[in-house]
Amino acid sequence: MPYTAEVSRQNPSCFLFLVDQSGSMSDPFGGGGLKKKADGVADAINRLLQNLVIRCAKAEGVRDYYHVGVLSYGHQSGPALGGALAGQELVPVSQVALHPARIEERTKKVDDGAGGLIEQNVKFPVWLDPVARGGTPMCRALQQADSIVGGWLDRYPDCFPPVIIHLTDGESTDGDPLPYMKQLTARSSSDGNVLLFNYHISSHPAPPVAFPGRPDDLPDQYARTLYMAASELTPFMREIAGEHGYELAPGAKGFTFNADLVLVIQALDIGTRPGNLR
Amino acid sequence: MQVRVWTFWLPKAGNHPDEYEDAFYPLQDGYYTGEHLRFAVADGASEGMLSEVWARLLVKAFVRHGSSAAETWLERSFRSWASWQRHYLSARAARKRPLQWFEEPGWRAGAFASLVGLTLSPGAWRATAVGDSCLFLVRQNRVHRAFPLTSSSQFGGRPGLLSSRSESNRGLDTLDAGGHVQVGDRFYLMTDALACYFLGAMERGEAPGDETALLEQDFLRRIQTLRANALLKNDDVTMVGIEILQECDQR
Repeated sequence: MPYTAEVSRQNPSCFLFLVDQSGSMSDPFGGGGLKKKADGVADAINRLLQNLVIRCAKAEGVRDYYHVGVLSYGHQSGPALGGALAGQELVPVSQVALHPARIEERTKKVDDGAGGLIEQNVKFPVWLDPVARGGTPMCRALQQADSIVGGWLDRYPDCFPPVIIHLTDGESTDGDPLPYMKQLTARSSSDGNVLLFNYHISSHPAPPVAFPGRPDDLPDQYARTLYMAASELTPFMREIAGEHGYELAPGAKGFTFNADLVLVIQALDIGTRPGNLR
Repeated sequence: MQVRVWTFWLPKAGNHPDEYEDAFYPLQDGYYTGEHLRFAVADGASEGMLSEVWARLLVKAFVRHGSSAAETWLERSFRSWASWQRHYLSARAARKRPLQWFEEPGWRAGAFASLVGLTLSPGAWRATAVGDSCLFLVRQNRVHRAFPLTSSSQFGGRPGLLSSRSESNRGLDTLDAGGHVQVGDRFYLMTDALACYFLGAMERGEAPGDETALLEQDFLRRIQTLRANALLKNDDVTMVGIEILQECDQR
């Protein structure tokens, strides 16, 4: 049965994030919010990386169940992790843990145990800073992702298939991305094909569409292309989606249209929650 | 009362023995005699931080103080955990290895474990359980009692586990069972992966004595075979076998 491989230090899997950093990412999210999309995406990825590290953490160390990469495209394209990880395409999650670009102090409200809320200082590691500049060379980024994933699969042919999470708000400016996406998802390990999730983040005021089973409600060809290329959620990911309250249609895909920040965070969780960790 | 005890354990395939997160008592196989004898297995949750320590402390508290109400031996466990944490933090500080940012959430969340404990008294057994570690009473080559889970389909959900943070255990109940014992009765305490397999084998009509004999002949090879055939989840496995030799203490 596909997508059931155990994820272990001997047989790790990988997550690769493809992040659109084109100029339009400086616009706010749709739905009337003030937060810029670039800021929201960077926050969401930093939070996701933090959660991933914590899930792999044991006392005095982090187990390398995953390798992680972040590729950005826009004015500058390529590996986007900062600090000591700058320039690296894929890094073991233990290195992600040890080398955030910086650790910020933030406050969050927590239950005080007596029916109220108190503010608590929490550490917020930052690996990715928001950028919004330039065009949208999506095809080139997909080619680079394909090369990275190909190398990974040569090393770990029996791994839980790599998961590519693509966050974009615009149309490709260097050609039709569909063939490149198809090439990426045609790759496979013995446990199944590479999983590609396309999360469209828009400034459009229309309500979000999350994990559809059909493309009927999508407004344009570009959204339909991203839908078509996206992989179906695996049974385990459908379970996680259920925990977030989604009732999914058969064949629901890892695709969102007009995602707001809450949906981006949920979608990242659905695509990356560790399943069969040893 | 006199019993014979034998134990087996293995870490997950691919893991080092140091990474084994179950706990059990007794650590020594052999013959045990006494008016009240206690045995236990616990399964530290892999998702938790230092769950193997919490599992060991729970087993120890149950074995030492299991004659009291569950609240009492649990309270002992919380105190032991707090004391252990203080020593651990001091040791980390002395080694100039303070907690890292990625350890802090797990540290705050606490550790989690399932437990099944057995008390044998003259003519009687009593068991306490939280979570999916299981006890089986095998009498005349039949499973006379399975506790707390009774079917392989009950595994795989999210069992309630004992947390090292007492406030996280609100609403969590310990389950109790008991009955009489007779010479020749065998009790098996197993952590979840093996217990699930064992119940499945019983549901397929296997004889419990045949299954336990295969495990006891060559535990490592049998577990490897079951894992290779996807009949057993790759998890830490623990089995404690206890055979009643004499119902009353005849020293």
